[in-house]
Amino acid sequence: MTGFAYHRPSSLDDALAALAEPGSLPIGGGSDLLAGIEEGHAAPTRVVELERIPELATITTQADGGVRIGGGVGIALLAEAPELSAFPVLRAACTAVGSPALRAMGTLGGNLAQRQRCWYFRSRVGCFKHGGTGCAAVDGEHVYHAIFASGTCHAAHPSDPAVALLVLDARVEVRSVRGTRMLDIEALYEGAAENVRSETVLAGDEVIVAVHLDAAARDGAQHWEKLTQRGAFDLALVSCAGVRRTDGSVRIALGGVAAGPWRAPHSVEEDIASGGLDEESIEALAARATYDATPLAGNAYKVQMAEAAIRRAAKTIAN
Amino acid sequence: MRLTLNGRPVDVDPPGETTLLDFLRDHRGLTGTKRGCDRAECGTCTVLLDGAPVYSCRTLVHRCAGRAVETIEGLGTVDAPHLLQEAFVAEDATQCGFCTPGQIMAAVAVLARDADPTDEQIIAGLSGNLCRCGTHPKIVRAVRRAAAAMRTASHG
Ligand SMILES: Cc1cc2nc3c(=O)[nH]c(=O)nc-3n(C[C@H](O)[C@H](O)[C@H](O)COP(=O)(O)OP(=O)(O)OC[C@H]3O[C@@H](n4cnc5c(N)ncnc54)[C@H](O)[C@@H]3O)c2cc1C
Ligand code: FES
Ligand code: FES
Repeated sequence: MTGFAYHRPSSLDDALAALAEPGSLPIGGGSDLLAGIEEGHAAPTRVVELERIPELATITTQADGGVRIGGGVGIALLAEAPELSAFPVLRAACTAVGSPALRAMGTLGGNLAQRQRCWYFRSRVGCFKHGGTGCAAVDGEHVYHAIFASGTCHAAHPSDPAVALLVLDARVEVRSVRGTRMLDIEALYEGAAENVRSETVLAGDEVIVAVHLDAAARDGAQHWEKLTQRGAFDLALVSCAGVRRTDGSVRIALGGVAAGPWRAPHSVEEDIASGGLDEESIEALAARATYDATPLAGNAYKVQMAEAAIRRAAKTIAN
Repeated sequence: MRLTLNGRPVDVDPPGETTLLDFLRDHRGLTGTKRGCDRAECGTCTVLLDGAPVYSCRTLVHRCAGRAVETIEGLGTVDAPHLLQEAFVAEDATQCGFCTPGQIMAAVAVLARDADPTDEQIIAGLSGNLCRCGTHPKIVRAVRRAAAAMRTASHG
């Protein structure tokens, strides 16, 4: 690994000022960033620690029942956080991340901002995201890759929490010395397949300070599942999060199928929300949800998995 | 920076990029913690950071400032082994032994959470520690045996 300095800031302002200087990058647990440095995707001269900054280290329940999760909170903590008991889909998604050690090491901000785990990218072979022109996975080994292509890169985003946050309509609070902005989780991953430097829209000096969950997303019916090859310590082939809010509206999202977390078409969600569905109509809805899938030669199996997951989600959250 | 290593305070100032694994093995001579994949994919480098299992190959030493690191060397010795180490021997739960230090450290964390874990809890708790020799069933038995021994010991 190339050399770099380690900066433990005394405050959030100190961290943002340090990150405004060229060559600085934020670090959470380091479980992904250190890989990126070794692989030559990132070359910081200084990393700036985030996890002990008070604004990033806490989970707060607001007076109205909404919850603010600091961007430096550990995944293992989130998996069991009592503050998240009204958001079981998020706790389940955090429990599904990697292994006990990866959950103890990783932070929420780092998990959302982690890079793709595509083997071409990681080994720097003919990869669009590593100085190449096309995506090596298209004509190569792509069983784990995306079935909804949205640009040159065909990697499927590895974050499980992001999928749960998508159905919870989470908002991401991003800060730099230039100011604060709020992003829908969907907007965080806009252009992920075409962005060489990152899968998120974050600039190098921007920090995920917090993730906000609205009170309206509490409770209702919530569903999570993650389909993997080896059952543990593995990325999702397909994951599925679903919620029926207490107001009756439905949201369904998938992981492992696109460059970022993927949301089902609104018309499908509306039809699930309208209720009274029999086996046949659920099947038709799931097929409609994946209608736009463009699988590669070797990963069409994911379309079937995605449909099966959506059918199960629809049944669990229906009425 | 200062960290606590196997119960003793240590003052160090390593370069920012130093991983905990390099620090333990190369700076401190604590070679009980093994380097397998060196990329957070096997678990053999597992140590405890404030009681939680972490892969030392992807943890910077600086992240451990003000915290407690525990390695297999801090657990027990040949003369006075920890009950988990005894149980691994009794159940013959190692073959080549390369994954064993990481398995045992992960098991310490499992038993700290639950003194009487189910097999499912043991398997989930050790799911980030791969054994290429395939000793997993024996490891589960060893953890169960250690749990029973530790409960007996703590009840006097
Ligand atoms: C073998 C393996 C299996 C895995 N399996 C899964 C899995 O099943 N599911 C899953 O979801 N993940 C999985 N992961 C990913 C793992 O969970 C991530 O490595 C981890 O969550 C990253 O968190 P971190 O805090 O260590 O991030 P870091 O490595 O510290 O940072 C990652 C990136 O985010 C940036 N960053 C960090 N914090 C912030 C912040 N607050 N704001 C803005 N940018 C920030 C860093 O600069 C860096 O670019 C796996 C990883 C490995 C190695
Ligand atoms: S050596 Fe650290 S996980 Fe394999
Ligand atoms: S005993 Fe050989 S790797 Fe586990």
